Amino acid sequence: MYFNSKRFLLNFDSRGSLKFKVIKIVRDQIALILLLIMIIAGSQLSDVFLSSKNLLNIVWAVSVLGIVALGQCMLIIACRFDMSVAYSIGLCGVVMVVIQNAGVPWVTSVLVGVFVGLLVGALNGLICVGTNANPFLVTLGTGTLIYATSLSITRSKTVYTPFDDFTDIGRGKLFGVVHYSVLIFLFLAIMLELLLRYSKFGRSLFVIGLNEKVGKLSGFSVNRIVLGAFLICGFTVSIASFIVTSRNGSTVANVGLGLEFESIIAVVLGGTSLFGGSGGALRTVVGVLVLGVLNNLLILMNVQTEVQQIIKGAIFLLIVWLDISLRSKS
Amino acid sequence: MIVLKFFFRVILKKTPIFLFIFTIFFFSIVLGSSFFNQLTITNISRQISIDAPIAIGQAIVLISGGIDISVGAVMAMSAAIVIGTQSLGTVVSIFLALLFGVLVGCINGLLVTKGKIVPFIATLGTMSVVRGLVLVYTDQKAIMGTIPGFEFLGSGSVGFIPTPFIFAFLILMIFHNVLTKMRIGRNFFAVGGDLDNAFLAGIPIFRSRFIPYVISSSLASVSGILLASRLNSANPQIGIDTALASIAAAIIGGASLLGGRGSVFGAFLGVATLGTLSTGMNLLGITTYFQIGIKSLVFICVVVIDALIVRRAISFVKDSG
Amino acid sequence: MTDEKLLEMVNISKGFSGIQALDNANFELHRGQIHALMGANGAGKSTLIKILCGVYQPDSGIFKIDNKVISIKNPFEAQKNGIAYVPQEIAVQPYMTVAENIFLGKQPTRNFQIDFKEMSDKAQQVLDDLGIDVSVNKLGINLSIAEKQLITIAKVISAESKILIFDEATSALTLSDTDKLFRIIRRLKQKGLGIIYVTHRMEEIFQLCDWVTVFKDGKFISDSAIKDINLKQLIRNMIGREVATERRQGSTNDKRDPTLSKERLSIANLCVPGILQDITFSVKAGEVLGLAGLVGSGRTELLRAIFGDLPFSEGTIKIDGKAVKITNCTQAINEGIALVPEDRKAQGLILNFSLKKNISMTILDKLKRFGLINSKSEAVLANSTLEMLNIKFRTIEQTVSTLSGGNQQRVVLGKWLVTNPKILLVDEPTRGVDVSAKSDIHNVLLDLAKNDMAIIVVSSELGELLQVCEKVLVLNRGRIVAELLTKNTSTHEMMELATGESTTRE
Repeated sequence: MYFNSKRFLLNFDSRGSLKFKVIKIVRDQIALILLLIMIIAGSQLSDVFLSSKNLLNIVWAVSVLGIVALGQCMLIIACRFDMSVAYSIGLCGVVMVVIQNAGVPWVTSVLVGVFVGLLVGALNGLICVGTNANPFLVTLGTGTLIYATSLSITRSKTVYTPFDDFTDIGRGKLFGVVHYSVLIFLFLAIMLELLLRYSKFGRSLFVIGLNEKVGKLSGFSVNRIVLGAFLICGFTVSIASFIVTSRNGSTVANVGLGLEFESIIAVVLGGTSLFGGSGGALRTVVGVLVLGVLNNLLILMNVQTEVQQIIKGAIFLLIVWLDISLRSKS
Repeated sequence: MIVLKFFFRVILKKTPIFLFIFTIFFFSIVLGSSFFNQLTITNISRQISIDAPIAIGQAIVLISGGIDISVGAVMAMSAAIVIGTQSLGTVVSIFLALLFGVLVGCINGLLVTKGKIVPFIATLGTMSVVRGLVLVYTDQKAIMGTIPGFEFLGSGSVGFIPTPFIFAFLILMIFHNVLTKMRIGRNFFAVGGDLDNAFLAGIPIFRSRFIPYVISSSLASVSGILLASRLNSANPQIGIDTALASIAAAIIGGASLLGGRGSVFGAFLGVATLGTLSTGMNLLGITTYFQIGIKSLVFICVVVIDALIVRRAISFVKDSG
Repeated sequence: MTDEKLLEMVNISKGFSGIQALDNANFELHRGQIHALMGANGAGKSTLIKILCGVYQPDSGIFKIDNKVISIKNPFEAQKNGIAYVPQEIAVQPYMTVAENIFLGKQPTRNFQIDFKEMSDKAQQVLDDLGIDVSVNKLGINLSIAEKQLITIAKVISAESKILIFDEATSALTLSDTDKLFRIIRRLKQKGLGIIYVTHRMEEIFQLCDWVTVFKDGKFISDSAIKDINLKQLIRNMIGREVATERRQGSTNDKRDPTLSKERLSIANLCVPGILQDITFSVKAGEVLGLAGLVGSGRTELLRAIFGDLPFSEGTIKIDGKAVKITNCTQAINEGIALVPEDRKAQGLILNFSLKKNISMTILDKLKRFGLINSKSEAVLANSTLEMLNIKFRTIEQTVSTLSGGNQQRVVLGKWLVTNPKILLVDEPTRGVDVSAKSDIHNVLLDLAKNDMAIIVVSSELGELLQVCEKVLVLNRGRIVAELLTKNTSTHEMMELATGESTTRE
């Protein structure tokens, strides 16, 4: 009665006042704005930056992260997280390569890998839905479990694919122009965007993220939807795993280290709120590109990778703080 | 067998001491005298003394309604600082390492209270930044200590008691006292248990939510210093799984992710249980990978059980008719 | 009872964005007096209390304690001025003992350490003083609701306390708990405290209190000694003169052959432990049934139970004569039930969504083409629904939070009407809605009834029930105590039944 400890009120009263309109636009398009700023900065800092080679390279480099971020985005819209992506990307690839080495044709192995990804998604989803435990911590736990599994299968060593043509997709280009990985990334992004905007499932993700109670009272099956989101994330991780394994021609258990954090950053940078209920797949693409450009800039400026991590962590906190201040009722 | 283990976890979770005794019992039976001897006990207690301060700090944060996953990173950085600044003298380097912990704690505290950022996210961010700092500072390599005598802290013994254990025990006693006998400690419980109620009772909310983060980071520093002393080196891989382990230990010890309950003695026992489990598994010859797997299973079970128990407790507590 | 004026509140006014919660209200409390504060929902009781407790500041008016003019800016100042408040929602630190809960934040210390013995002794003293029989070492989580309330009293009372406020203190208590509470309150009265007792329960007022003040629509209506007033007069003060309210003229089924109007919904022996007992009734197609009762009597819970949002331990639900199993909202919706909830902002609408999305939310399956939502159909649906319900809007893409209360309520109605329900449950259809929207909504409900929908309306505005419903069930503490025909009853009768003693005792 006295003290409303509910800190986050999504009652965003946009009564058309100019200030609110501006804030809304900034918040929604923050990723594009950032992207523009950085592209401009990049063009000033380096001659090579704006070359088509460099730009295409950026997109190629982030497509793996991008695909994972797409899956993460689905979950974040529904107010959940998957912190196991860093390790499940390793497991899917490991399984693929290991059974390839046992004689399974690589196409089949990819299907098996996808199945593993879905299995992980199901595991995460069922535990979170069944016990109502914090998804953050549950997936941190399952992630470590998955890591242990990959490590024991590979004995901490790198495993190599025996098939030469397996690397075609990860490294190759369609008609010699656009990388397959980029195409797959963009294709998934478009598919998921359509899912979010035009399917009942997609709509229900937003509903649950904004107000789960209303969702329940309106006949949405919250458990099934959350499980579905985890399955999608598992699926995207398996695709990402395929691409990175194919690209490298090999894989190792910790190939995805840091991916969970980066995927969340990309999603938040793209304008999806950590409170759920807003955002989108295309926005996540922009967020991923922002990260990609940032990485590129830092490399061009000869900043070490470790410093890059510090910068990314700081940016993450900044974005999250901005997200909160723009969303709480004044 | 697995069902039995699970069943036991459910019952015994509320009483960490039974869990601890059970674990010792289990390994003693399976391993016999190769387990229950002085060397093993000394080793276990040495390991516990490194992990205990962090678990105690985590328990305090959980009690106040928060969570701190940056503790592993802070531990690593403090270890790195204390080794890296050895040239300035042992006392100075220890001081700097502790200072770092306090600083990060303050940042975490501010992010959560003033910044209103959810504790998981806030400490995830600081963890990432600090990990980056560790990599930069150590140049991604292990760094070696050069001062003899520094080892005493981590590797020495007073009689048959390892030195770090004395530190851990002192910390345990101090914070047990704070949490049970001082107003400031009781206030941590209050803000974690029922925030509105605490506000109306006039309890200083900001302070009571801020200080636990400073405590947990500082204790993580202490652990880092002790570990660095024991290894006489520091490397970026330190503390990678410490955060989760400390949460598991604290929850086994009676803390809950929803706050308002917990005990540092319990957390200590939780660490002891997990440490015994580790050592037992080592002696059984279980591969590292399998051990990691078991530990993560323990973590998941602990979190799940907490959710299931807490769910029932909530409907009871908030029942006002 | 002495004649010392302890508290005097004069011409207090307080408004909130257009609503005048208090309008030149007065209130007077004497030492050693147990003073009841009564009024219907929205009468201004809780606003007055909040002003006393420092949560709100009055727009105008003064108040004095012990003849000194006071201004209270926050809850702590209220405490310092001797005002103690026992809230309706009792919260207690679950993992601390009774002693520590009583002294929360103020534990006695010695050498920087809490002196547990002293705290325990002092707590025991306080409890003995008040006549409370609870062990000081019990943990908060192990206390019964009544015990939690008692130790809250022990906690908020201090040496400086002069005024003690109870807010709907007995809503969760058994009869014996209530007796114990009353004994303690009388003891406090002997000590010279002034007690403000906010309640709806008439029999308690006559049992416990010396004096009663009635508020209505934010205005002071009357204050009188209990011995000088009776139940009928009190009710009259609370709801005003029985105006010749427009009644529902006839019912849909009047002109029909009685055997043809089928029973749409029939509930038998529905029980929700602690909330509803033995609820049995039925609603016919085309009938509008009202549920009257006080807050906490179980009206909202009954609707929630029918809709699958609240599990019930016993009872059967039959729709069109066939028994159905409803354990969640999806099942209820599939059976043709719809619920317009009490709190439209938190439970009825997604505030950040557009009008279009809010309306289509419930039937997305039917708007699909090739598996995807057809935006054109969605838009058509939204437009036609909004127009049918006479909702003023600019575009279907505007956020629903930009609409007025009345329009928002109609959007919620619309969202459910598109599912073509057989049974419509409405909880407070016109709360926070302006006058013209109110009659619009009423007309919509009556039209729906004409088209054979079975409707159940819960409302705290008894006049509204008379206007819209043909039959009203009165709920009192979880039981149906009466079934009335609106053409034969009055708001006074309904209120009497709602506030009177339950016919059965626990």
